[in-house]
Amino acid sequence: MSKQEDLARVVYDLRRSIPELHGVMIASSDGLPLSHDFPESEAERVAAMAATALGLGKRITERTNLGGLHETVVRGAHGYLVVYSAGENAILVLSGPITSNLGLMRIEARAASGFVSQVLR
Amino acid sequence: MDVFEVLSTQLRRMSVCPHDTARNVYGWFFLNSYLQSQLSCRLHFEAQENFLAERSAVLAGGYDLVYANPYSAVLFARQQGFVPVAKPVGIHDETYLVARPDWTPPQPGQKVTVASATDKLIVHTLGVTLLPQLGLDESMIDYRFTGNHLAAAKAVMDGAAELGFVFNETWEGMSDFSRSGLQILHRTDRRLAFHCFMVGPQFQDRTEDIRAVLTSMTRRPEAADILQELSFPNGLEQAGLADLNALSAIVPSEVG
Repeated sequence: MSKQEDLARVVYDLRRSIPELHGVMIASSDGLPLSHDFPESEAERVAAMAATALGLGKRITERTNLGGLHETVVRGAHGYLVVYSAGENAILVLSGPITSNLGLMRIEARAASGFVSQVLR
Repeated sequence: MDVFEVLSTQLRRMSVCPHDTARNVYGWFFLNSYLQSQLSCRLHFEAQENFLAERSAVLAGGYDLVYANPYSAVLFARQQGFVPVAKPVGIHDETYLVARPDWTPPQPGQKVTVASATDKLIVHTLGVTLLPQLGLDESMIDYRFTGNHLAAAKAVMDGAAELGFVFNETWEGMSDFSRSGLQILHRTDRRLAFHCFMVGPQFQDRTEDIRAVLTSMTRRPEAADILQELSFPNGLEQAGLADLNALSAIVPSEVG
């Protein structure tokens, strides 16, 4: 399988494991969308938001000696946007409703992030 | 070029004046994503914490695209060979000379404290040109450098300084409550200074591509949101080295 197919499979599998999600994206750590199931018109904006969250999260963990950044969770009144680090070069973004199971998201994201990291190595 | 080919291109680095990232860091990440897709290249952006650290980092080398304040723009062109490619339409850096509402002119021979973010920004250089309008010259001034423009305004409000140099954009962004604690005595209207995008020497094979992408943003629906986020309502227009000439004349040659 090509890298594109590998990443598309990760997105598909995450949606199948957590059906309530609104969207899944794999992007470069600099905010370039690589694979996703968000509407195309939203992709660049979501990737940029994720890169922003990652950048700020990294700065905060560095300045507070918390170690390497694992995830950034943004919770609004209606839902979550969670950004996971997927190796040095990529991030995994999950968007879901306020009823989302964060524990399940974390478990699935951890496995998916490891695979993404290998694909992009 | 597909995204995986883009990932294999040389990593380029973008730096942005910290005053602008402080206003809306997300807008700059949004632009970074847009530029990567439009230019088919990897571009890394990381917000810096203060003016002088950002300037030093760029002058130390390793940056390929910058959005520079006017003072830095002159230094980046002079010392690193950066070339301007685009600037916001109709947006200029000006200085407001502010005081508290109850301010009274100093007595002859009395020293005056002036708050300023730093003397290494154009806001200070322009502000100095306003002092003679109050009958003041440099020998009558003690400067109090505050590190950023908002802190300069606050120093005047708090009484730590009698006068202050405030960046016009900072003034416009202040709350009505904060502004009510100050009055504008004089303001520059020289339309001389501007922020601009500049391309570094290692990236200048793409200069025209970058200029075209930036100056065409107003015509592209997908870029409209980015311009709005960055508060560039009229978009970006072409800029070149000749546009820096007038600015260069007022930036001292020995600073870095």
